[in-house]
Amino acid sequence: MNYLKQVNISQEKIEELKITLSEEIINNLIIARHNVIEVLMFLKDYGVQDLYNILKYRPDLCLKDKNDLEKDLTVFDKELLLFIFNNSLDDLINFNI
Amino acid sequence: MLKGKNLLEEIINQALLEYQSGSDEQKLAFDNTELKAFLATFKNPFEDIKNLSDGMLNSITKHIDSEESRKKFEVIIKYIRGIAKINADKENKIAFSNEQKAKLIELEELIKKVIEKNEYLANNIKERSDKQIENYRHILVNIQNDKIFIADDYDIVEKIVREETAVTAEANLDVIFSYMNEHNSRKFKDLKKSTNLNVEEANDILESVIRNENIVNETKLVEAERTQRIKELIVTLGYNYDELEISLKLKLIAVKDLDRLKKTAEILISKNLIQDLKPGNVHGLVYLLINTTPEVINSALELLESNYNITPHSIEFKKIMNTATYLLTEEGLLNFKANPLFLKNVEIKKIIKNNISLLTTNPKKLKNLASKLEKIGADIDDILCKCPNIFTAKIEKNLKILKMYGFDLESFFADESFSYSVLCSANLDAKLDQFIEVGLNDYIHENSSKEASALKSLIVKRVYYAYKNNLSVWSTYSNVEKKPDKTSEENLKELYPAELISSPLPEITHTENQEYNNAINKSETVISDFEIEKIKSTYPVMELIDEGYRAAIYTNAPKGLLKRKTELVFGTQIISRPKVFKVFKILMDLKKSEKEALLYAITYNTLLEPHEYDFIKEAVERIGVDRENELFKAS
Repeated sequence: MNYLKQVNISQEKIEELKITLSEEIINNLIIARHNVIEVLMFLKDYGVQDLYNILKYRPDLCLKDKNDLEKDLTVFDKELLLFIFNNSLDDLINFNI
Repeated sequence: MLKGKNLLEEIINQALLEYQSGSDEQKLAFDNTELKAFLATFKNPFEDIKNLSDGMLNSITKHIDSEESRKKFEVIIKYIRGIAKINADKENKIAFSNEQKAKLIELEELIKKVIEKNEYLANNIKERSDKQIENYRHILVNIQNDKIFIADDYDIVEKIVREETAVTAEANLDVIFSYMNEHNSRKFKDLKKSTNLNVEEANDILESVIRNENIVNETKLVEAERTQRIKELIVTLGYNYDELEISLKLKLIAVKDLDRLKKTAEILISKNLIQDLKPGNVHGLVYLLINTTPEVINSALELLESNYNITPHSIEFKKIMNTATYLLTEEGLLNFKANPLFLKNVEIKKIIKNNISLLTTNPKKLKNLASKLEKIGADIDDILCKCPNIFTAKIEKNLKILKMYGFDLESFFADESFSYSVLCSANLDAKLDQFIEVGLNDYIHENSSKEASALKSLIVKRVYYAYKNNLSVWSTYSNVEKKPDKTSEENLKELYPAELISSPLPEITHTENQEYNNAINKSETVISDFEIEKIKSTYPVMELIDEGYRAAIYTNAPKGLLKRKTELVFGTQIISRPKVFKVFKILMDLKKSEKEALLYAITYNTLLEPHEYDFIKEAVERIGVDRENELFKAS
C-alpha cells in the first residue's frame, strides 16, 4: 500500500492500517489503487482534512465509484458533511453515507 | 573493506528505493500542487493562514535543518493559525503582532523555496534511465552473491557513485574501489587455496569468469526477447511498457508462463473487457494479466450474467473490474460462489454500489457473522439491503456493548428502521456514556421495540447540534488523532490566544492526562457484568463505590434494572457505570494508584460544574479501607 504516500499517508500510518484493516480490505485497497487515489483526491478537494481516517474508519468509501460518492454527498449540506468528515467520521454512516 | 561494501550498497539501495517507489516523484508533485494552491489563496495571510493543514506545515518545515528551529517555527505558525481560526468567527478580531506578521512572511518565502526544491528533486528523479537502474541492480546482485568484479563493473560503479554522490564522489570511490580490489583478491586466493591452483590455472579461471559473463550475456539476450514479447503484449492492451512503473515491469517480467499471459490478454481484448477498466487503471490490468486465466474470466462472466444479470460493460461490471478485481481470480471467484449472503435473494447491485468488498470477503467469516446475527433475530436480507457495512465492520464488539448497556438485542434487530448503522460506530460505548450522563438513558429505552431508532436519532441530533454550535461531537472521540507529545496546556495554547488562557475556563474542572486518554481511546476493552464482578473482587474500592453510588432503585422492573446496571449517581450528576469500570480497569493495567484511577474514571469525558467535581473528588477521597480496623467506608 506504499502508493498511499502519494496522498501524504506516512509509512508509519500505512503500517498501522495493515494491522487495523482486514486482509480482504487491504487486498482490495492494493488492487484498486487507481480508484482509491481517485476517491481520496476527490475527498481532499471536497475539504476532508484527514485521509488516513477515511482509510482507517471508512475504507469502503475508497472502493466506491467516485461519481456515486459525489452524488451521495449532494443529499446533505456540504458544510455539515465536512464537519462530520472532519470531526465524527464514523457517524457519516448514520447519515446514510 | 566492509565500509566500502556498506557504502556502495547504501548508495545503490537509496537510488533504487527512490526510483522503484515512483511515489516520491508523485508525492513531490502532490506536495507542490497543495502548496501552490495554498499560496494562490494566501491573499490575506493573517486570515488565510487558517487554511494551512498540519500535513502541509510538516511538508514545509521538514526542510528546516535544525530540529529545534523546526519545532519552534511550527509552534509559532500553529499558534498564529489558532488565532486566525478564532478570528474567523469573531467580529472583534484579535490583532496580530509585528513579530507574528514577520513569521507569516517568512512562511510564505519558505513555501516558495520548498516548491522550487521539490521541482528540482522531481526533475532529478526522472533523470535515472531504465538502463542505469539495470546497472544498479547488476552491481547489487554481484555484491549479494559475492561475485568477482570484472573491468566493466568498475566503470559502472564509478558512474553510479559520481551520479548519486556528486559532491563526495572522489572520497567514496577511494573507499569503494579499495573494497572491490580487496574482494577480488580474496576471491582469487580462495579459489587457489581450495583447488591448489597455480597462477596459470587461476588465469584460466579468470578467463572462465569472463566466458561465464558471455553466457550471462546470452541469458540476457533471452531475457531481452521475453521483455520484447511483454512489451508487444502490453501495447496490444493500449499501454506503453516503457512508461510503466518499475514495480509493474518487475511483476510482468517475473511471470514464467508468457503464453498464459498472452491468452489472458487475448480474452480481455476479444471480449472488449479493457474498456471496462477506467482509463489509467494499469495496476488493475496488470493484476488481471498476472492473477487470472481465460477459464476463470469466462466462468465469472457466465455466473454474473446468469445469476445476477450483470453483463460486461454494465455499470456494475465496470465497478467489479475496477474495485473488486479480485473476483475475477480463481480464489476470489470461489469466495464469491461460496458466499452465504448471495445465495439469498438480495439485491446484489446495491451491495456493489455500497460495499463492494463484500463480494469477495472470506465466506467462512461471513457465515459465522450471519449465523450469530440470525440467532439474535436479525434479518440478514434486510441488513444487506439497508446497511451492508455491518458485515465488514467490527460489530461483535458493539453487540457486546449494547448488551452491557441494557439493550435487548432481539428488539434491537426487530426495530424495522434504518438504524443498524449505529452498529458500525467506532466508539459506541463512549456515545452511550455521554447519553447516560446527560440523562437520556430513559429516552433511549422508553420503548424497547424502538431502542435502535431512538439511539440513532440521538446520535444524529448530537452531531447536528455540535455542528450548529461548533462543538466537539464526542469530546474524546477515538478518530480524532491525539498528539501524545503535547500537553493539554500546549493544545490549549494552540487553540486559544494567550489572553483567553490566562482567564479560567469554567468547563475544565479537572486535569486531562494525555497518556491516560490515549490509553483509553486505543483500548478495545469491552466491559461486561462478569468483568465488573471480577474488578470488584480485585479492588474493594470498586465494590464500595458500586454499592455506595448505584442508582437507589430497588425493583425488578426493567427500568430499575437498567439504571442499576448503567448508572452511578453522585449528588445530581449521573455517571455511566460501565465507563467507570472500563476506564478504571485500563488505568489499573497501567499500574496507576486506585484512587487516582477511580477519580479519573468517574470524571473522564464528563462536563462537570466545579461543585460537582469537588463532590466526586471528596467522595473518592473518603472512600477506602481502614486497614487497621478493617472497617470499610463507603460514603
